[in-house]
Amino acid sequence: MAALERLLERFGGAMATLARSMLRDAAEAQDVVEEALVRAHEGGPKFRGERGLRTWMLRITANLCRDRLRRRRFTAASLDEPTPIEDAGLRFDPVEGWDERLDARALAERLDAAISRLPRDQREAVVMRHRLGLSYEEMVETLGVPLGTVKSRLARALTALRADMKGFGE
Amino acid sequence: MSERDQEPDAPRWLRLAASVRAEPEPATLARVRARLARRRAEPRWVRWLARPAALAASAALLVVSAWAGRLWLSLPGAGRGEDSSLVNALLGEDESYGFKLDPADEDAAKAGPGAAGADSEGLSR
Repeated sequence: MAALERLLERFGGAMATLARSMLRDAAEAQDVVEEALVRAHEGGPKFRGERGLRTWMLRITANLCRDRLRRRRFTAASLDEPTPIEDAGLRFDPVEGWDERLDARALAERLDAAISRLPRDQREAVVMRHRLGLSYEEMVETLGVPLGTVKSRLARALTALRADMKGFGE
Repeated sequence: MSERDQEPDAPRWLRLAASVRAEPEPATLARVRARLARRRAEPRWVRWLARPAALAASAALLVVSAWAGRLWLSLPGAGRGEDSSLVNALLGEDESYGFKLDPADEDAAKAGPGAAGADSEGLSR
């Protein structure tokens, strides 16, 4: 059980950020985080350490999010109208070195809405890369796809985001 | 992250993606422990039913039973004795197949088309 506590302490934030960014529903994302921790605890002995612990935890979380999103296709829930940051259970933390003359919060909200409008696989890639700061290698392990696929998803996502963020400068 | 710094074409506003974060709820650990305790209380077979292996096993069972049924039907004479057909046993004993005629109608039918029934007698005159 102490291991569980350590897992939550080390990766809970990343798992919650990924789940809430993907699902845009705080309660459902919390459920996913709890389920991911249960699965990690149950599958602990099977973890052979060939992958990093962080990528393993995020992989479980991402898989659970995918299952939920797949199920949502059969329900009325939709992401047509992106929810505001706080409604999705996320919070805004200003990044260091940001130009104070620009309204970082408004820009972050607009970017968050644009990210939530991306197709599922691109959204997942952008969140992992630009929100959680995963390296390409970590993304390959977490997503279970080749490096080329990771890069092409990110490139397509960036094209869509540029179009959505037009007028906000580079 | 050094790699991200190697993406010179990334727009500045993309850095703000990292400014949106979340933390799990404070009661997460207690809830996870409760879930684990609940699962331990469940019988093993119930937990097995929730696994994808259960779905695969039931699909395999379906295929095997369909194959065995087909094989059984293809055996010469298997289940096809004269008395074994359910339809024959229920309906075919007197070859009427459930459409047995009234004895009076049966006599009229035997008498042939010239013997009209009482109702049509007036018309024929």
